Amino acid sequence: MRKKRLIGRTAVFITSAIFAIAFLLPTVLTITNSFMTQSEIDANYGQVFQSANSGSTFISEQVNLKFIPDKVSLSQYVRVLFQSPEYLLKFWNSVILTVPIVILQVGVASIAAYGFTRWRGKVRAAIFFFYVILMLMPYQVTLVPNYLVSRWLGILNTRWAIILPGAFAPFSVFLLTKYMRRIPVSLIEAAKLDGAGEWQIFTKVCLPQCRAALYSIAILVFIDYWNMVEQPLILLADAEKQPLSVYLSQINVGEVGVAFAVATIYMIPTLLLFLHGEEYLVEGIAHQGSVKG
Amino acid sequence: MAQVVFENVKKVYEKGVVAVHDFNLEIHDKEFMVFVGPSGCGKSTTLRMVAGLETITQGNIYIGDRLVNNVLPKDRDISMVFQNYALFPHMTVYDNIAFSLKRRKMPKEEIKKRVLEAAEILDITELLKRKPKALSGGQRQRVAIGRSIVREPQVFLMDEPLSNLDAKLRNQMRTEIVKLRRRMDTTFIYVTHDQIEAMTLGDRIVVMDKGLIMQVGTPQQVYGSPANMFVAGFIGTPQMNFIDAQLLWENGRYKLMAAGEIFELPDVAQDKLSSESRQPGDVIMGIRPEHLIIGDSGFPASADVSELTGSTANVHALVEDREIVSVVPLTSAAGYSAPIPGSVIHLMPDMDMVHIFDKSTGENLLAGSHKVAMFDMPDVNRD
Repeated sequence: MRKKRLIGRTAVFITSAIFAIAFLLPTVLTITNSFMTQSEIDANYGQVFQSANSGSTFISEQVNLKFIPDKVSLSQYVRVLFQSPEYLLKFWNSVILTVPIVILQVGVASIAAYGFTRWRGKVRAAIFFFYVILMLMPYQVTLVPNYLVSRWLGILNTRWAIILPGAFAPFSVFLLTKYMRRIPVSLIEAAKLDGAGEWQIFTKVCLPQCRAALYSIAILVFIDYWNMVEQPLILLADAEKQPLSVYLSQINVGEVGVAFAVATIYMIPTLLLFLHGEEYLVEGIAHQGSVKG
Repeated sequence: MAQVVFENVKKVYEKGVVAVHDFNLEIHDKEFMVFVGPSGCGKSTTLRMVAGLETITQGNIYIGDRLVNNVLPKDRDISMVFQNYALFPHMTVYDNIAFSLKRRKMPKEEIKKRVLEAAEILDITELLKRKPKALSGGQRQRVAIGRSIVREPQVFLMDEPLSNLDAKLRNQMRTEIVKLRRRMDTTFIYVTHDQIEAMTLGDRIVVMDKGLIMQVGTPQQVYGSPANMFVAGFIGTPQMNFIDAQLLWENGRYKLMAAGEIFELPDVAQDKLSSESRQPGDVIMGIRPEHLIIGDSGFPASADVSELTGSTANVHALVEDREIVSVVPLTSAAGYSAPIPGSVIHLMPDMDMVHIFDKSTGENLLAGSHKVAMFDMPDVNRD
């Protein structure tokens, strides 16, 4: 019996390890390769991109996936950070699109979720149902209406065409509503009896208890919009305003060494955010999935 | 003055579910009133209507001289202790207690003074910097009470505050509440389903069932002279024994026949029944277990199990297929041998303490005629 359990556990461990390695490999490859010299990059990947440049999609058999650089070099980073300002400009575009979306979406979702939590009735149920339906739709379905509304509002080809739809995303509202409903009604009643008004109940009682959910939503939204491609491609025709996520796909062709460095830099904000809020993220998601308590 | 008056108060929930029917009650200033009853009897709903957490469908509620039907909870000058403590988990004990004072924009120094005073009363001074998750159940309950007393409200509302505690802690906290009451000297409304809490804490008890008041009275009145079978069965552990009986009229006196035996009723019962010209017929005889004495006379019963509780033994027996219980006090001087299961014993009711209930309405035909002051209770609850 004990032997069977040991075999089972070993099998689970090995399978998990294989999956973990498979998930980590591209990230590790990107980071380590970003420290290679241009000549080493060319030697490893040159064939692929020469073919791509000539219009062929042929990938050379000479591609050499190499994890450890022969010589550690910061030349790709120097080029990205000091010699080519367009990368930093795109990076800044990503920041000024993503940060307002995160702030606005968390703010709007908190208020909407509080409303859905505190007030009951048929109208609330109907609106919430609409939210859920909207959430279930793939983003591509709402992209056309977003385009039409943006054009009608005259904000097409401005950052607001991305930020405004981002601020009113239903998924965050849904998650936060589920989380807020876990707060015992007696806490809200106690606050009421203690003299708190609705705004104070929201800010002093409800929001502090949703810290984990707010943080996890902020991280998820950040990752989602930090990596967006379709929205800027359709709603921001002006290439100057497009974020790095769009630009990355373009520099992959031809400048693979730079692409590795840019991708590594691009990962840093997400990674820092994740590391800082890992505890909250796990707690927030676990609560929403009713894993806990 | 903080009396609480209910005038024809009714609560009807959606889909027509009536939680409280025509509730009329006057709770006196500085009185400790306990609402007791089984789950779903409407006691918490009534309390929540006083708090303003439930709307009133019909009737009026006054706190002091003020009609509060449409007054916001925060403006009713009340505080409430919840069953699950309702402590804010993200705040320290200090901030929890100070929350209501901060909302009222009280000066910081005054807040600090009041919080420290409350903490000292409840012996939680060393816990002020902790968060609720770092407290035991009993400590949380103290903090919840602290949050309530710091405001010095006109009326304290307590909704089953001890239900989440274990038996030992519950007994301890019950005593704390009695002491707190002596200090605060204000009006308390306390909701519980635990009759021991009701009996030990209340100046008066309201026994409720299905949204109706079954009886209002002092603990002694409710226990010694229950108004009906519901109250008789609900108050008291082990509960009152009920035996099918017949009320007889023989030679100008009422008698009671139960389990084949005829018992004389005392003069006080004779007077009560005569004054109401009660007709003979089928009734239910009620007798508390401690008033049923095992001896050589009385109705025969088949002994069943005996339970030792420490100071007493509960002897279960079958009388005409109905289980009844007799409580036998145990003293160190006299030993006690429990009857062998299946053996025949005789149970003699103390006829001065017998209750007779109308078979159809459940009403106690002798209500008010019993000697309810079984012992003189010094007024220890109040200074």
